[in-house]
Parts: sequence; structure tokens; C-alpha cells
Amino acid sequence: MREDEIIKLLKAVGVIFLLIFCLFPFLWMIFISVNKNPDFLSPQSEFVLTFKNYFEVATSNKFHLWDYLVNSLVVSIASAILATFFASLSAYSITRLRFPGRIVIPLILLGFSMFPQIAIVGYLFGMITDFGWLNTYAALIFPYITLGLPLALWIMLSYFSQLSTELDKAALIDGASRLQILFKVILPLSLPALFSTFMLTLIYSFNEFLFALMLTTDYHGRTIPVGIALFEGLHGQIPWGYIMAAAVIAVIPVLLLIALFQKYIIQGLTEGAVKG
Amino acid sequence: MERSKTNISDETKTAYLFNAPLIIVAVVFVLVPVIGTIVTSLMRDVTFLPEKFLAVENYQRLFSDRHFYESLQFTLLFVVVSVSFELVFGLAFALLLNETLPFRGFLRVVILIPWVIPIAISARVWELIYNFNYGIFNYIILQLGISDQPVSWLGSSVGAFIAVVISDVWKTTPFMAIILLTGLSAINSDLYKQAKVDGTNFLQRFFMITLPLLKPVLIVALLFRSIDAIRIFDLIYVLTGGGPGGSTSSLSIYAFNYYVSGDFGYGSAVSVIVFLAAGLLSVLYIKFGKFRETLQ
Amino acid sequence: MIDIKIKNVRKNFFTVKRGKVEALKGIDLEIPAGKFFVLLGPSGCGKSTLLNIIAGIEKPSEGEIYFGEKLVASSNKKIFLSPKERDVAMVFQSYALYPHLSVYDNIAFPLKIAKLDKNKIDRKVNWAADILEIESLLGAKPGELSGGQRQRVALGRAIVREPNLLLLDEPLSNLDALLRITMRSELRSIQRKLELTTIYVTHDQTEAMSLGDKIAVLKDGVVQQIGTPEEIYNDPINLFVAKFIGSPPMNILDGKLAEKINDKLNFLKDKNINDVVAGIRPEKINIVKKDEGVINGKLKMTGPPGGEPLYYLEAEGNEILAKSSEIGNIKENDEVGLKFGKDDLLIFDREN
Ligand SMILES: Nc1ncnc2c1ncn2[C@@H]1O[C@H](COP(=O)(O)OP(=O)(O)OP(=O)(O)O)[C@@H](O)[C@H]1O
Ligand SMILES: [Mg+2]
Repeated sequence: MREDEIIKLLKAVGVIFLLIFCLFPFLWMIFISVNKNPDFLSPQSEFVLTFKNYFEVATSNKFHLWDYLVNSLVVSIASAILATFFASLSAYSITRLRFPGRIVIPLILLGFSMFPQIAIVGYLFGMITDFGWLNTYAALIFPYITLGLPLALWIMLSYFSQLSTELDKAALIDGASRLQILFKVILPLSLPALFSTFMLTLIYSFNEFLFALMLTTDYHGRTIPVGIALFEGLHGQIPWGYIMAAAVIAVIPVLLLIALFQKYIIQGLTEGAVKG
Repeated sequence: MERSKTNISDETKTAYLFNAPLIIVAVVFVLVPVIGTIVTSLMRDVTFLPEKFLAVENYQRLFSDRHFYESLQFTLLFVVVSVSFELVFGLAFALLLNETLPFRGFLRVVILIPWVIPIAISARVWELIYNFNYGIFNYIILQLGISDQPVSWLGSSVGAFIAVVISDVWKTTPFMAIILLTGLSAINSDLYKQAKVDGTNFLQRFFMITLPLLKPVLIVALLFRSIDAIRIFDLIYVLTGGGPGGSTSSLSIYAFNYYVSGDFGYGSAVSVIVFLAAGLLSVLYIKFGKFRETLQ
Repeated sequence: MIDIKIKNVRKNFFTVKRGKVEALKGIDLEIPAGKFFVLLGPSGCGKSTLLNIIAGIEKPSEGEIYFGEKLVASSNKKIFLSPKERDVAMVFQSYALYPHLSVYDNIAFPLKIAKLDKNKIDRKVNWAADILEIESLLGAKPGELSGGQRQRVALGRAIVREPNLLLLDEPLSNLDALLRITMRSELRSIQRKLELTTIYVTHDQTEAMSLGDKIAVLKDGVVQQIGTPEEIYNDPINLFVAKFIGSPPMNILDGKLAEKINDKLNFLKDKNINDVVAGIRPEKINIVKKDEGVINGKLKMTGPPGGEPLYYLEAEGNEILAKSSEIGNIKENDEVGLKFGKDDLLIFDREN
């Protein structure tokens, strides 16, 4: 076989493998969610199409699906906005101002991100309890800001350092303050980076599990990953159909994000990890 | 350029003001808890008992705790095995996505799916896939005649290890692939044309051009993933709960169980070990990542 | 030494955004053995695509390519030899030096792939380094070299194999102006010395004129004209070639002017005056006293001091550039005459 034929074959095999690899569990989730008998593979059962699972988890108020989902969205959107904003402020000062600590601050923050969550969560639990924040949005929003912070900072840093500082100088001469420059000149020019940052910090927060597990106790504060992870049947039988239906509903928001904004997410990821 | 003194301090003041939100949040919600954890690890901090300073007693207990060593061993083995598989698959996918393919945009969305689904949620799907009685893995194994007995995926320690690795590789390979893809696309495509003209075949091109040029990115990606893998929690918590018999209890799970049972002192000591392990890798990461150069 | 025949080669790319792109629309060329052949054309006309197809990096969508008598690519017969089998060497605009290998290893790379023994490789690398005067750089990594040095290394790697055919894709365009001129003549003398059949791609017509034994002018994937530099300069086949070749560019005079001088240049009478334009090279125009030339005009501006004597004139609504050497005592805004021979006036179909 000639080399280009081998490559063609490898590519075809690769594409098929990639599709199966990435999609199989996801499709399986959808498949079970529309199946009356999750045990249909055993001989005494069979596949029966149904949408009852969706109907049940969406309408029954004992599952609290919508509560979890709303909690997740509120917490992750709030923390993503704050993280993006804080990171922009910091990145602006690091790329534009000279001050002691200019190099050290981002390095230290990066180091912070390497702290394993398990080394934070035990003590944090006590702190949050003392603040009286247990099972509230605040309990998650603030820790979540720190979660995506290094990545956010890195994306903003590498973007801002590409923008010419002449803009700042021109604005300074026009009498603008630094804050005005950031808001009126730099941020409007940085929409793609802001968007990447926002999206990635959002995904990080949406996916977080351990903090949510420890710092919330019920549907008033609990996020969807924890909700679904702790989803158990009332009578010992695991209600797979319900779980899978809830899972499908839960991942719709993030799937929409990647389908629509794939480019920004990939850009952000690579800016944050490779360049940084 | 000449600047007056007040000007300098003004600029510095502004800079610190701009960094304040970030630093405050990071100090309060990361640094304080981490220091708190370290301090707690030196104490007896057990619910319903008065606190007492123990110095290194928790650590002494740790180093004579057989379960701790098992947990450490599992964690390290898990890091090595799953990161290796991720590297292989991630590199393969990255090479694939770097080629001109029809529907490449679609494939790039597809590859993000495992990464974007919260692992606690996909772990439930895996739980079902590994189910002893009606999971699809056992169904396939029986149908293809690979074995005449269903495999006890989550009920045996080897099965549970493999299950955890498969699910983790599924979840994190996309990240690896995306990072490596950027590394690949940074390689001047003329080099490949040149190498073709120089008479290489595709294997030679991979080993003589791609691999050496990708090495820096590869190292960064590996370290990044290792730091992440060493603190694994969510997947195991949902999929196996650390079982069967503690055989998949990662360090994070091990520490967490002590937190839950109210022994914060000992749990903190275990956490400090995770922290040290991740810290060691981070130092390497920062060293190889050339962060300083990016900053300047 | 080998001659190359290209027969009706077409290349289509299929892209999501632009749909079908016809990069080459039926190219026929014969490249004589041992000659320096230049592919000249504006950006995007398909030069690199054609070169890649000749090299065997890219497959033609249609057509055939012969190296001597040997068919190396044919869309009908499903023949497509790899670059290795064609034994070609290539130099890219980006030089494409392997950044992780030393200069020595870069030059030795194709020889190692061909599994030559160590001593032979060493001898050949030193031979190539000697020709290009880069012996002192052999230990360095490409990142440490200047643009000109990289250029030499890339050339060294190409000639070290003594290939059938040397392909160069705008190899000088990343060099500064002065270096480009030195490298040009050096390249030419190396090619002569080794008698390598060479195909050289450029969009710079001066480069093409000074280097090529033969030039093919390309536009939009179609060969416009093939000829020696003199033929192409003196006898451009169409308006595109006429305008593309020559610096400063040829003056193009509108149909109106031709009508006016029709009585003096009556060879135009069989053409419809609206379908043609006239072109004249700046150096063929002499500036003389008013009414002594073919037409009258007004001197608008003289060229920069120190450079070639250039004169910007206006005549009958046309802007005209002249490179006359003796103009006597004429100042800006004076009325002058423009004199040229009727043979120097080239007539083209008005295109597009
Ligand atoms: N791989 C490709 N996919 C799609 N279109 C391509 C590809 N390669 C070249 N083209 C298109 O083919 C045409 C010719 O490109 P080519 O690179 O050969 O031009 P060129 O004459 O070398 O230009 P330049 O002087 O800018 O290098 C262009 O329209 C280009 O966009
Ligand atoms: Mg080109």
C-alpha cells in the first residue's frame, strides 16, 4: 500500500474511533433516558420508547431538577462574571503599570490554583459555616471565582499584552483615568478574550463538584452535578431513566455553549494552558 | 523617561487597587483555608472533642497507616496509567484534527463533549455502562464471547481500577488533544513539505519532526494533567465511592472520608500530603512552562 | 540534469468557505534541462501550487508530468510518485529549517533519510557548506542565524543531494534589498556551476528578469507567456504581461491618444480604436522641445535626485513616465515634446 493510502485509511479509522470514543457515553445517556426499561439488555427485559422519564423529572417537585439547575446557572454565571472582571483589572495593571510585584502576583496566583481542592475544602467548610453562608449561593460563588482565576488571568494577560500601549498613552493625554481607559478603551477591544474567559470560567464552575458537595446541603443551594450524583431511588432501585433524563437536561446548557462558541473555548483553553 | 516621585506612588497605588479584588478573594478563599488546613493537620480537631495541639502526631499516625499507603499507591498508579493513556489518545486525536478533514469543525465540537459534561454527571452514565447485570460492557463481552462470565467492573478491585481509568481517560483526553493540537498547529507546515521532499515517510516525519518540536507543549500538558489527576475526587466519589473495600480510594477520597466522619485533623494531614504532591508537580510545571518569559 | 514536461495540469481545491477554487487551469510547460526557469506572477496566481505539484507534495487534479521520459504524475493513469522517487530538492520562502537540528544535521537530513554512510554524508555536507560558505555555522541552530545565513543553509540542504531538479519558492523574499541582490547572483552562479535544472517561483519581476534563462508568466492559474527575459520584456503578449514586467512600469496610453496620432501611425487603421490601448516603455521616450516630438505634454515633476532620471508628464489626459537622459534646460510645468519611434509603441487589446 502506498503511503498516502495508508494515511487516508488511518484518518478514516481515526475519525470513526474519535466519534465513538467521544459520543458513545453521551448517546447512551440519551438512549437510556428515552427507554422505559434501563435493564433492557438483560434477557427478561426489552426496549420500550418513552418520554415519561423527562416528564417525571421535569414536573415532579421531589426531584428538584429545576432548583439544582437554576442554582448551578446562578452560581456559575455570577462567579464567571466576577472572575472575568477581576482578572481584567489585574491583567490591565500588570501589562500597563509598573509596580513592585508585577511579576510575582500572577505567579503566586498561578501557584494558588495548584492547591488541591481537598486541601481547601475542610477548613473552608468551617469558615463558610462561621460566615453563616452554608447552603447559600455565596458559599459557592466566591470559591468558584478562585477556581477559574489563573486561567482567566492568563488569557487576559496574553490578550492585553498584544494590545498596543499607545492607546493607553493617547487616552492618558486626553485626561482619562486608568479605570476609564480600561472600561472605555481596552475592554471594548478585548471582547473575544473576555468572552473566552467568561465561557471557560463558566464551564469550570458548572462542572465543580467537591465544594458544592461540602458547602451545600439541599436544593436551596445544591448544584446540578451534586444533585444528579446523589440522586437515589426511594425504594433501593436506582431510577436510571430519571437520572439519565435529568443528566440530558443538565448538560444541554454546556452543550449549547460548545456548539455555538467552540472557537472561543478552544482559543481560551490554549491561551491559558500553552502560552501560559 | 523621568518621573516624579508622587507619580510613581500614584501608579503603584492604582496597580494595587486593581489587583485588590483578585488578591482578596484568593487570599480569603484559597490561602487562608490552605494555611488553616496545615494548622489543623497539627491539631486534634475531632467533632465533640476539645481541640488540642498535637504537633506531628497526625503525620506519625499517617505514616504508620496501612490504608494511607494503599491510597497513596492507588493514586500514583492511577496518575501514571491514566495520564499515559490520555497522552496516547490525546496525541492521536490532535494529529487527526490537525489534518485537513471534512467536517473538522464538527469533530472539534464533538471532542469537547466529554470535557464539558460535569464528571459527576457522566460518572452516573459510566456507572450504568459498567453495571454487572445489564451494563452494555458486559453485554458486549458476553455477545462477542470474550468471556463467558460477566465482568465485575465495580465489584472487584482490578475491575474498579480499570473502570476508573477508562472513565477518566474519556473525560480528560479532549483537554490533552486540544492543548497538543495548538502545539501542532504552531509547527510551520513548510517543515512537513520540506521533509517530504527530503524523502521521509510519515512515520519518520512523526518521530523526527513532530515529536521533537512538540516536546515542550507535551511536557507542559503532561504536568498539567498529572497535577489534576493526583487530586482526583469527583469521578471516584460517584463511580465507586472509593470501593470496593477502599481499593480505589484516592488520597482526596481518603481525606474526605475523615472530614465526613468528623476527624478534621487527620483528614487535613492527608490533604497536606496531596497538596505537597501537587505542589511538587507545580514547581516543575512553572519551571517548564516558561511563565516568566511570557510575562516579560 | 533532466528536462521537465508539464501537460495540461489542473488543480482544484475544495474549501468550505470558497467552494471550488481553480488554482491551476490547464498548464503546459517545458522546462529545458540544466536551465534556470522562472515562474512569475502576482500573489495567488498558483505559482506555489504548481511548484508543489511538480515536487510531488500535491496531486494534480488533471494532467501529466514527465521528468525526462519518465511519467511521474498522471491523473488518468493514477500515477503519482513521491518527492523521494522524483529526487527533487526544494527551498521554501520560510526556509523550513528544522529548528531542533543543528545546521550540520539540517543539511545532512536528506542524506540520512537516504541512508548514506557517515563518511559520505560528512564529505557531502562539507562540500555543500564550502560552496555556500557556511562552514563556520555548521554547529549552530537555525534560531541563532540571520536571515541570509538561514537562506544559505536552506540552499545547502537542497544542493547537497545533487537532485534531479531544484525547486525554489520565493526563496529571497524574506531578505533585505541589498542581500537579495547578492544572493541572486550567487544563486545564479551556483546553478550554472552545478548545471541544475531549476524552477524558481517569484512575484518580483526584476528578480525574474535577472535570474531566468526562461520565464513563464502566470495569472489566475493560466500561463500568459513563455519566453526569454528579452522576449517578454520587448514583446509582451498582452496588456497584463506588459504592465507586470518592467520597472518603472510601462506607460499605458488610452485609445483617445491613438486616435489623435492616427495620421502619423497609420498601422492602427485595421483595428477598432476603442478596443486597443498603446503601451510604451519609459526609457523609449525622449523629452524634446515642444512640437518636435510625436505629441506634446507638460512636465509635472522630476524624479528624486540621485536616482535614475525620471520625469512625470501629462499629455492628452494621460499620465506618462519617461526615463529620458538628456532633457536640456526644462523646468517643471514647461511644455515639452515627447518623441518615440513607432516600433516602440506596443498595441494591445483592451482587456477586462
Ligand atoms: N490547500 C489549499 N486549499 C484551498 N485553496 C488553496 C490551497 N492552496 C492554495 N489555494 C488557493 O489556490 C490559489 C493559488 O495559490 P498559491 O499558493 O499557489 O498562490 P501563489 O501564486 O503561490 O501566491 P503567493 O505569491 O501569495 O505565494 C489561491 O487562490 C489559493 O487561495
Ligand atoms: Mg506562494
